[in-house]
Amino acid sequence: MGNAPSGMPPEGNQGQDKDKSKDQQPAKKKWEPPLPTRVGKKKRKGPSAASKLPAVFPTTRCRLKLLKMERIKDYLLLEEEFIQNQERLRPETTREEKNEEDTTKVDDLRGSPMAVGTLEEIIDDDHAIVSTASGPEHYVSIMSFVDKDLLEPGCQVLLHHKTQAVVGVLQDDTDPLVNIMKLDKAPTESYADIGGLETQIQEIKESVELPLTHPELYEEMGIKPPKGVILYGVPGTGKTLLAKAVANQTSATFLRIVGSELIQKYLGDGPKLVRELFRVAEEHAPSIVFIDEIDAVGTKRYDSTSGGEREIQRTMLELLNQLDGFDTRGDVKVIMATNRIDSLDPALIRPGRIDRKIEFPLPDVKTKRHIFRLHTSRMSLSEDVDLEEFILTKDDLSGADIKAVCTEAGLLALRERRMRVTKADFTSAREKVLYSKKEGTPEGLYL
Amino acid sequence: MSKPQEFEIKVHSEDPEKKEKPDDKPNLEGSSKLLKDAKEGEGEELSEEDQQLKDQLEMLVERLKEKNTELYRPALESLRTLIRTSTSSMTSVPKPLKFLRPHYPDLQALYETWSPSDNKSLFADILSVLAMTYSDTQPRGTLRYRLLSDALKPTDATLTDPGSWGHEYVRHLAAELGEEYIAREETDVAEDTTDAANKQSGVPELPGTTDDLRNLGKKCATFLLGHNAEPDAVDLLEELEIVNELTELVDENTFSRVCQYMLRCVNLLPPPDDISFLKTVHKIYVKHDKFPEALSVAIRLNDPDLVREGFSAPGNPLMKRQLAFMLARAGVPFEWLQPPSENEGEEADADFSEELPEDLVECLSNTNLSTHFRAFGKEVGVADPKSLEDVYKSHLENTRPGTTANIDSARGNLAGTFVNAFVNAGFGNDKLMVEAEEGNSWIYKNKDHGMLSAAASLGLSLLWDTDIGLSHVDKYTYSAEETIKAGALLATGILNCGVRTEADAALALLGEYLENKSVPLKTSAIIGLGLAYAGSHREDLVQYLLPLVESSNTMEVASLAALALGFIFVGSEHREIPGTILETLMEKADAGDKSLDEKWARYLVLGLGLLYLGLQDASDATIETLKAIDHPISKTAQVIVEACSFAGTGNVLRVQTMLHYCDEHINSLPKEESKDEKKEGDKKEEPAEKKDDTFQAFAVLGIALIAMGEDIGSEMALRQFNHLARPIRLYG
Repeated sequence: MGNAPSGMPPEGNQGQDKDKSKDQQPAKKKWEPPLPTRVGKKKRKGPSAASKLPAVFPTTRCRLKLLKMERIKDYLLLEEEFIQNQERLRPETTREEKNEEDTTKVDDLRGSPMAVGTLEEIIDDDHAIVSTASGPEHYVSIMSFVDKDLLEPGCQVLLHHKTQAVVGVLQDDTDPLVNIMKLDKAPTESYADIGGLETQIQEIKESVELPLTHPELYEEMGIKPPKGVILYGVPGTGKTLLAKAVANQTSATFLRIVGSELIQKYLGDGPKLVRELFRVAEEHAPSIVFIDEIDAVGTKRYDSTSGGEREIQRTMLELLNQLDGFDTRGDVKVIMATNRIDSLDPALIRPGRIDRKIEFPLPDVKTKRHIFRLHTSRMSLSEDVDLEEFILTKDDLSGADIKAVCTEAGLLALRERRMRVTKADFTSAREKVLYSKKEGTPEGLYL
Repeated sequence: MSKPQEFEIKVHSEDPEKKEKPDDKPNLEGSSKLLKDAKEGEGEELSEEDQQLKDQLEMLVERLKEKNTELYRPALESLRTLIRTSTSSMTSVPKPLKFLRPHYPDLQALYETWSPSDNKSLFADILSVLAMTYSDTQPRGTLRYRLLSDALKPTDATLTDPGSWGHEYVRHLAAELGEEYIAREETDVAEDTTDAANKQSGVPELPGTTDDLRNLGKKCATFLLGHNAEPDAVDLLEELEIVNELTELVDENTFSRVCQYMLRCVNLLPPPDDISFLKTVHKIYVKHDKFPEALSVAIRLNDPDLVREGFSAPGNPLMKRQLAFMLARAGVPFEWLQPPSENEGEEADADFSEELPEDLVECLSNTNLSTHFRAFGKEVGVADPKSLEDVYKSHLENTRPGTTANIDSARGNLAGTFVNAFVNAGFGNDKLMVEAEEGNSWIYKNKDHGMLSAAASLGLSLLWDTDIGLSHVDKYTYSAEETIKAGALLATGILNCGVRTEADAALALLGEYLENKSVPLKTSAIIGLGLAYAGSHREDLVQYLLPLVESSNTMEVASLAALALGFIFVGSEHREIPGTILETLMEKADAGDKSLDEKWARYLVLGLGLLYLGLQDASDATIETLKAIDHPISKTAQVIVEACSFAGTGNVLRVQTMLHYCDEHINSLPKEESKDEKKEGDKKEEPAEKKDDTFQAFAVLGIALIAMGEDIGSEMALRQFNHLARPIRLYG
C-alpha cells in the first residue's frame, strides 16, 4: 500500500464512499440504527467490565467463594464452547479469506504512513477535532472501523496522512519511562541469601506478600492490610537485598524505581511520572512498587526559593497523594528504602501511607556468623582460617562490610595465585576494609 | 579446613507454602545426618530460647521412648502444654511443631507399641496435632489420631474439645473431615475398587463410623461458630450432609450471620442442597422468632404449608400486619393461607377471610395500596403530575422550528400515551387523561388502536385505586366507539391488578364481555382478567377462560386466553391448563393450520411457559410433548417453556442449552441459504429463514431470564453477550 502513496488514499476514500452509497441502495430495507456508541466514556480505571471477571466476595476462603469461582469458570467454558462451535461451523470461505480481504481493505483505507495525533474533542459519532504536534487543529472524520469505545479526549490516534481522518487508536499510552521500571527478570537473590534478619523478613512478608496472596486472612481478622513498608537502617544492612528477595519470591508485578529517577528536567514531569507509575501498578495489580533511596524526593518540606527544590517537593506531594489520597489504590503495595528516615517528611511515613517501619540494625554476632558463612560458602578456605575470630571482634561491621572483607581476602589470595584463602588474607582484608570505612571520620580528634 | 556447609543455609521464617508442604522425604532421610552436623552447625544458629525449647522437647521425646512408664504421663502433659502455649505467626510453623517434626515417624512407630490406656489416648491427641505438619505425605493423619484418641477414652469421660488446640487445628481437622466423608461416600459406591486403591496408596483405614465423623464435625462446627468463623462451620456441615443440625448449634449471636451466608450460597448450590439450605434457614429463623425473614424464605421455597405456618405463628398484631404486607407484595395467593382441612370450594374461602381480623384482610388484599402509594409519593415530593414536556425536555433539543410539524402524528401521540401513563402510574392525577376536562380527553386525539391504548392508559394511571378508578373508567365503557370500549375494559383489568376487593369488580365487569362477538372487546376483556388476577391462582376463573383456549377459537383469542391463564396461574403447574394448551397446539399443527404461523402463537406458548415459571424440572414432560409437535413453533415453545421454568435459578447447564440453541442455528442458516440460492430465487428464502430465527431470539432472552437470579451469573452473562454478540470487528 505504501507503494502507491499519492494515488491510493483518495481513491480508497472514494471507494469507501462508493461502497457506502452502493450499500445504501440495496440494503435500505435492512438498515438498522447503529449501535449506540460510548465515545469518550472509556473507564480510566482498569479494564472494563466486559473483559474483566466479576469480583468475588467474600474473600474469606469458604465454599461460597469456591462456588462462585466455579460458576465463573462454567460461564467461561460455555463461552469457549460457543466460540469453538462457531469456528467449527462457519464455512471455510467466510472465515479466513473474508477476514484477510477485510484486513487488506482496511489497511488500504488506513494508508501508510499514518500520522500520530491527539484527539482534542469528539464532535459526534463520525467527527472529531484532532491536533498534531506540528501545529493546527483539524476537524476530521472518524472512520467507521475505528473502535469508538477506545476513543476518548486526549488519547493518541492514528491519522490518515492526507485526509487526517482518524483511522486508529494507539492504545498503550503508558509513559515509556514507567515501562522500563517493570521488572522483566526476577533477581536471583532469594530469602535464603539473607543472613539473619528473620523478624524483618517476617514483617515484610506479613505486610507485603500475604495481603496479595491471602487477602482473606486480613478480612477474617477484620483489618485492612498495610499499604506499604519503609525499610531503614545504616548503609549495607540489606535493605535493597531484602527487596530483591521479595521480587524474586513474588509473582506479582514488581516495579522498581530509584528516588532520584523521579526528579525530571521539566516542571510537572516528576509528579506525572509518579502518577503514571501508580497507574501502571494498578493496571497490573496485584503489584509491588519499590522505591529505593526515597530521601531523594521525600525530605522534609521547607520554604525554598529554588524552583528545582520546589519541584522536588511537588513530586513528593504527588507521591503522598498516590499513597493515601482520594482515590483508593487496589492491590498495590509500596516498599521504600532509605538510610535516613529522620530526614523524611513526617507526612510520608505516617500510618495509612506507610504502615510499617522496619529497621535494619547492624548484625549481631549470630547474624554475622551467618553472613560470613553465606559469603565464604563458595570460597575455598585454608585450614587455619577461624572465622570465629572475625565474628567476635567488636567492629561495627555491616553485611556489606563483611562481604567486602571476604571479597578482599579472596582478591589478596588471587594476587598471589593461591588457591586457598589464608588467615593472613582475612586479617589484612579486614584492616583494609575498616581503614577505608573510618577514612571519612577524623579519628582520635575528639577522644 | 572447609566443612560442607550447604545445609546451613536454612531460613528460619519459612514460607507460608512450606507450612503446608514441609520439605519432603529426601530431606527427612537426610535428617539424621543433618542433625549430626546441625548439633554444632544449625544448633548454634538458634537463639538461646529456641535451643532450650528444642532440648526440652527432645528430652521429652526421649523420655517417651524409655521403658519407664511412670514418666509417660508428665512427659505427655508437658509436651501438650508446650505445644499449646506456643504462639505462631501467619508466616511460620509454630516452633514446637517444627522441632518435633523430625521425630514424628519415630513417635508414630512408638505409638503402635503402646498398650491401650489413658496415656495412649493423650499420646494420640498430641500425634494428631503433629500430623498437621505431615498432611501432604500422610493424608488425614490428624483425623485418624483424633478418632483413635477419642476411641481410647473411657466411655464416661468427656471427649477432649478439639478447640483446645487452637483455631488452625480445628480448621485442619474440618478439612480432613470433609475429605474423609467424601472418600467414604465413594467407597460406599464402589466398595471393592477403593479397598484395593487404599491398599495401594498405603493409606491406613480410619477408625470410627460415619456417626463418629459427624459427631466430631458437630463439635468442630460449634467451635467455629463460637469463633467468628460461621462460613467454615456451614461448609463443614454441608460436606457431612448434616446441614439441618445447624438449627441446634446456632445461638442468638451467630444465627443471623449463618443464615445470611447460607442464603448467599443457595443460588449457587446444586438442586437438592439448595432446598435443604433454605429449609434449614427457615427453621433457624423460626426458632429465633424472626418471622418476616422466615416468611420470605418460605415464599422463596414456594411452599404453601410453610407460608401458612409462618403467617399464623406470631402473636404480635403489628408483626402480623407486616407479614400480611409481605405476602400481598409477593402476590401469594389467598388460598394458601386457608387451613387445608376444610372442604374445598369457595365457602371455605369466605369463612377464612371472616376469621381474620379486618385489618389483616385489608393488608392481604392490598385494599389501601393506592392510598399508601400516594401518601408515599407526597412524602418524597413526587405527587405532582408530570406533563409530557417534563419528560421529553424538548426545549433543550435544538431542533429547527420546521420539524415540529410531525409531532402530532399517530405515533407521537401513542408514545405520549405511554409516557404519560407510566410516568404518572398510580398517582391518578395525570393531566392528559384523569384530570382532563370533559370531552377534551386525550382519547379523542387518537385514532383506532391509539384510542384503545389511551383508554387503557387510564387504568395504569389509576392503578390500584379501585373505587375512584372504576368510576373514571366506567364512563368509557358506554362509549359507542368499540376501541374505546375495549380500552376501558383493559383499563378495568389493569387497575385491579394485584388488588382484591369484596365486590370482585373486575370479574363482574369483564366476565360478560368474554362471550362478546367483537374481537377487540373479547381480547381486551381476556387480557384485563389476566392482569387483574395475576398470580391469584383462582380456580373459578378457569371455567371462563379455558374454553377460549380450545382450538375452535381463532388464534388471537386462544393465545391471549392462554396468556391470561398464564398470568393468573403463574408458576402453579395447573392440572388442566397445560393439557388444553398443548392439545390446541397439536390439533392446529396436525390440521396444518396456518394460524400457528401468526405471531399470536407466541403468546399461546408464553402462557404455557408462565405456568411453569420457576418450577425447574416439573416442565420436563411438557417439553417432551412439545417436541412431538411438527411445526416450527415447537422449537420456540421448547425454548420458552424451558427458559421460564428455570427463570432466576442461574442454572449453568440451562444457560448452556440455550447457548446451544443459539449455536446450532448459525450453522443451519447459511446452509439453507446456499441451498435455497441454488434452487430458487431470493424471495422465497426469506420467510423460511425468519421463522427459524425466532427461537434463537427467545433463547437469548432465555439466557437473560435464567441468569437473572444471581449476581455472578448475570455479570458473566452480560460479559458473554458483550463478547459473543459483538457484531462487527473493529480495528484499534
